Amino acid sequence: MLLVLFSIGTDRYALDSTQIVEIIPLVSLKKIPHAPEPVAGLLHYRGQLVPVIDLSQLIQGHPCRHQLNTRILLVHYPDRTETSHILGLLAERVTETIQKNKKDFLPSGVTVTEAPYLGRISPDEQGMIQCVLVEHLLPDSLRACLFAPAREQR
Amino acid sequence: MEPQKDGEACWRRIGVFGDATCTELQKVSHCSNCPVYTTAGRGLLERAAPEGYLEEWTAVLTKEKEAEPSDTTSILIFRLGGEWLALPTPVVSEVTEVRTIHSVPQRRHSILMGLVNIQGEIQLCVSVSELLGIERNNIPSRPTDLSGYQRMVVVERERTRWVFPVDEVYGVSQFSLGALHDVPATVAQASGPYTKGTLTWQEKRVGYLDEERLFDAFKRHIS
Repeated sequence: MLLVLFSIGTDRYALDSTQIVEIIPLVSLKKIPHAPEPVAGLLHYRGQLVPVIDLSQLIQGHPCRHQLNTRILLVHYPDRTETSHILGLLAERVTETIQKNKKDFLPSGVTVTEAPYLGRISPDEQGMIQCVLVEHLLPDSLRACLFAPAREQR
Repeated sequence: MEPQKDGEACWRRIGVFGDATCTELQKVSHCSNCPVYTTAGRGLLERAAPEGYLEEWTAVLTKEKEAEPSDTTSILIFRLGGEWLALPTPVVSEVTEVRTIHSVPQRRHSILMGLVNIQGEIQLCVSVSELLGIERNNIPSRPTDLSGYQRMVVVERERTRWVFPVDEVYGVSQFSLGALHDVPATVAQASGPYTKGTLTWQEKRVGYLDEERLFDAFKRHIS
């Protein structure tokens, strides 16, 4: 399977490329006042508004640096009702893809309730790469905030 | 290994761009295969974005993506005399400079021009212009240099190859099958029965040849 790598601090993480719609540069986002911390803002993407989550803020508690290799990964995010939304994930060092087999991955053996999105780990010569499971990325509160059923907007 | 030393990158000091004394070269054989080089390359993106870059991208991404036509076919466009014609690229195996055509004894009114040496193999050379009834400008039987436009096109079906000389090859283009017009009955279209239709390309009318009929005609004329 083809994985897209990104970094949070010095740790490397991977996303399954089949869930990725597009990878775009860190463009200007509309800030949402009083939104939870990991919400970086709203992106105007080809006619629709897409919420963007700062993965560095979500996973390690400090925001992404704004480098040239900090990019937004647009992914299919399935919610409980099985409708798919597009969600933007802001991450650092999005510059590489790798091919790995399923058998290269070991279960981490550690379950963290606050981070249900952390998946299997693949060790390589540079360290360890941990998979991120998009479907478990957003806690209930955040999911409700971003993908609430459309209300009448005045 | 220290990639930078006194400001000079290792690939320029001890790598392939330097004196090639780096021991890693025995393993990777070229700096571009070495992880030190690729990491340094990626490191170039560890900087702030240049002025105006993000504003430009923000504007680009708000627009809808233009739907690319998905039903396109790849064709080779070439000229015989005054007529532009096209063949689907899957049947074209090669375009080469004009070679000497060694004539063979044959019936008259045959489209067979003779034998040609293409890459060491003897191939049958036919005249598509003769088949289609198109008059060509001049037909040299001796090789001309590449500054002239004439070429020889090699086509292949079921491992049988045919070569035919043309007056000019434009190259490969894409066209959408929906853009194929019927051959107009009113216009004296010499290639008529061998054309699937006409396309408009660079304001010219191009006859899209029926490769099956063409190959059948080649076989008929040889037997």
